Amino acid sequence: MDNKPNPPRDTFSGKVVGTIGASALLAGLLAFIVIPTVTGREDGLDVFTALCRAIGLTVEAPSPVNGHTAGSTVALDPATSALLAGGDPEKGAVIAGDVCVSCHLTNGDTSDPNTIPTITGQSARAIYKQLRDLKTGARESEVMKPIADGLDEKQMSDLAAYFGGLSPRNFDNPEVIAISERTRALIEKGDASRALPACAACHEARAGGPWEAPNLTGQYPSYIDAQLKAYAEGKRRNDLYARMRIIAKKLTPQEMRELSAYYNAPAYPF
Amino acid sequence: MPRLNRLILAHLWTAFAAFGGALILGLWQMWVRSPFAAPLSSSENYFISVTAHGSAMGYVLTTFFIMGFGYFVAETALKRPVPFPRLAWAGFYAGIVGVALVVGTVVSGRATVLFTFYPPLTASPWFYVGLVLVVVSSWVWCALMLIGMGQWKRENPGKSVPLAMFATTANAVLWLWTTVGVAAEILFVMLPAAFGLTEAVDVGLTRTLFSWTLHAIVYFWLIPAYIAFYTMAPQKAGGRLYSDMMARISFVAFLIYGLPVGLHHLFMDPHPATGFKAVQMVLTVLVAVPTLLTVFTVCASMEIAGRLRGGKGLLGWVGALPWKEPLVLATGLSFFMLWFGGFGGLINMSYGMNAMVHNTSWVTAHFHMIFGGSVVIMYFAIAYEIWPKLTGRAAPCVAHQRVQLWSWAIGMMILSLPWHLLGMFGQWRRVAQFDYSDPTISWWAPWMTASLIGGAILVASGALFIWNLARFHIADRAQRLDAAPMEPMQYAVALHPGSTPAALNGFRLWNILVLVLMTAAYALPIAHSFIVNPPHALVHRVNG
Ligand code: HEC
Ligand code: HEC
Ligand SMILES: [Cu+2]
Repeated sequence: MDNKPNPPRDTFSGKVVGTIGASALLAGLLAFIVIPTVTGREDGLDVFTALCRAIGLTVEAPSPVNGHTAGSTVALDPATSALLAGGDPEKGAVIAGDVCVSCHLTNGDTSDPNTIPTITGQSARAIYKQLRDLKTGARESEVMKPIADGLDEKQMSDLAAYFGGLSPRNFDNPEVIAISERTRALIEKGDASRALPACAACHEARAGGPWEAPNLTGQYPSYIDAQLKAYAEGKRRNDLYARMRIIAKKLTPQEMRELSAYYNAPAYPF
Repeated sequence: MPRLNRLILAHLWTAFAAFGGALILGLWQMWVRSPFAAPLSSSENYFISVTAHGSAMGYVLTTFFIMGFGYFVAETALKRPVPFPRLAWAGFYAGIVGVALVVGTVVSGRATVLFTFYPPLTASPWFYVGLVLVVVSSWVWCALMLIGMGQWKRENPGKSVPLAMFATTANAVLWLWTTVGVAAEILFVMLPAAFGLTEAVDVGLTRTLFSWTLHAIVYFWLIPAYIAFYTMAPQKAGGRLYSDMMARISFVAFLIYGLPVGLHHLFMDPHPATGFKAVQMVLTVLVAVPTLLTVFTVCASMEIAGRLRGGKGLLGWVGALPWKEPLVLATGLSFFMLWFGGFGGLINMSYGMNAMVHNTSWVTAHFHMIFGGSVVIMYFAIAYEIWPKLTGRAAPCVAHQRVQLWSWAIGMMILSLPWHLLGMFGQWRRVAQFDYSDPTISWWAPWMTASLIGGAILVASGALFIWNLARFHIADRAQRLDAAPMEPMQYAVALHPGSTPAALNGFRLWNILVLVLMTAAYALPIAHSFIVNPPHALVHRVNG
């Protein structure tokens, strides 16, 4: 009996499987253990959370350092779009006449330009999104919260259909407001040096931006200014993906003022 | 002449007809993006054109070329008939019907979703049906390659499958694995959405499934070029293949590492968990191995040829190579472009650097250089090599073939280098028109003009290519070789023919490894969508 070594081909397969296994193991070690632990520590995550996130087990676990709260829960899914499609403007008009009229008037304009926004010229989607967020508390407002609390989903969609069908308000200020070239560029082109996208990319009618982006044209300056400040300070947090918070944080107070003034004039096309 | 020369020619001419049309669209697209006013310029037309260009180049040219070339290899390398020729023809016609559906829906503006069909954009259902038919037709081809190789092995027990056929079958196996992702996406998500059965799609899931296909498909396109590098170029240069075993290892390495790496196309996507992105990034690094093996083995084989031809000294063998041979010339030009393409690829696969080039023109420029350049130039050279065998006629003019190859390489450099540069400066991709009066981007104008010129050179070169092939068919009787039958196709012989390890003479072991790696790489990322059930996006129909 002679002890022959394995035929060469078997050692070959063994070597190949060994090499590939080792490479995969190394890749797994780096990807699932080393990198998450190291970067997780920078983000202030404990090891366990960091590992779970690397595998995708905990998706929403926010990093305490860079944390954005979950915020709004509204999604434009088939259920929401069906709800909005079924909105009845006539029923909406009745509720508006009962509840909203004291502040937003029947035509959607404001009873006090300094504190209350106009809600004309908006899409039904934008109005619904805000009402839902005001009700769930994703957007905070002492005035609107109790009102939104009294509305159910169907009523919100009726109101959205009603206000969404109203034409924009008549400008009391028909003059084109002079704003600096820089701010105009910010609106039309953004500012690449600060990674700021153009406001018009999302806020112009038919801009193709996010579905929930409100129309700003005709909105009162004090309201726009207040909202930009609220986003910048993180007091308003219902914008999906923190879109507006990221933008507003980079704006100077002067820019906020000019931007607010700009939208209060018919220079901006619908 | 191969028995199936009509079948092979039908495939290859379909491929090159699609290529010719797509090339003209490509030039027009460059023109629209350039500072000069182009006829019919509108964003609608632009996206129709980009969809048609991408589908024709990425699906029709490649798939039909690979199938045609595969039948050629199966017959000439195995020296036996391809099994079930009728089935092969049936597959061909199914593919043609598929192409017709894709062309029809795209041209009528009902499928402007680009060739990687970004969901939730949803095209006319017939667009997807057309793609499915093309894929099914290619599956028929895969089956025939596997059966052909199996039959040969039974007839030749103990012998190793000729390298060209082993590689072709490796490609068939790779393709079967590759198409699983896109087939699942189309069948389970896109078709139900397109037919109106569902109103929302899980975009993360569809992108994950597409990524399964997205990297490996590039290797499917690339492998014919590698077959030519290993088995045809050394033969033409008058040398030997330096190592048969290394060649086999690199083909199976493409099979193994080409697949579990697709998530590197989704580095910037929010849905795949970071760990899986990182794993696949590391595995992507390993894909460099077969590429480096190839560069080494092919250079060594060429060196043998050069020295046999009397080349002396450290680099004297380079000059001694028969650069007049189109196949040798194309190999040189392809390797040259491979440096740029490979360098770009290293940038793309690095998570951090990828963030800088993501969604910029850099990416488009990169795949033009590596696919349109390194790979397609080898398709040309292969065509020049096999057309005499297919038509039984000698090449009417080899000098024209060389001019064509040179002009293609030069045109591709002029097209894609400025394009890379603009991408690095942030020029976004998938954009139809630019406003050059804007001072931020006005400096792009001369670079875009250069790319446009590169595009024009490519169109001229492509036209010459079609003409070079067409001349075989309209050649004088005098050039026919019927009287003295043409030498059968010769593939390069290995320098040290030895026994091949059994593992490298079949695919069982490799299929098991692929299964294990793909399960590890993709099971959780796909399952994730069902565990987490993220919000779905409303279907956005673009079918007019
Ligand atoms: C008591 C006054 C008052 C009443 C009544 C009232 N609102 Fe408001 N509404 C406000 C104020 C103030 C805000 C601005 C909240 C803020 O600053 O965050 C607002 C904001 C909104 C917004 C968000 C606008 C935007 O551009 O983001 C919507 C939508 C809205 N109200 C709808 C309604 C509807 C519908 C009703 C009736 C059901 C209603 N409101 C009743 C005072 C009122
Ligand atoms: C990427 C798209 C995008 C860009 C760019 C953008 N916005 Fe917005 N903006 C939104 C969305 C979406 C909302 C709604 C957020 C929410 O759901 O509360 C919003 C909300 C706002 C609001 C609150 C409006 C209201 O009625 O409550 C203001 C004010 C605003 N944006 C100003 C701007 C200005 C000024 C710029 C340019 C500097 C800008 N936005 C750029 C998407 C954008
Ligand atoms: Cu890739």
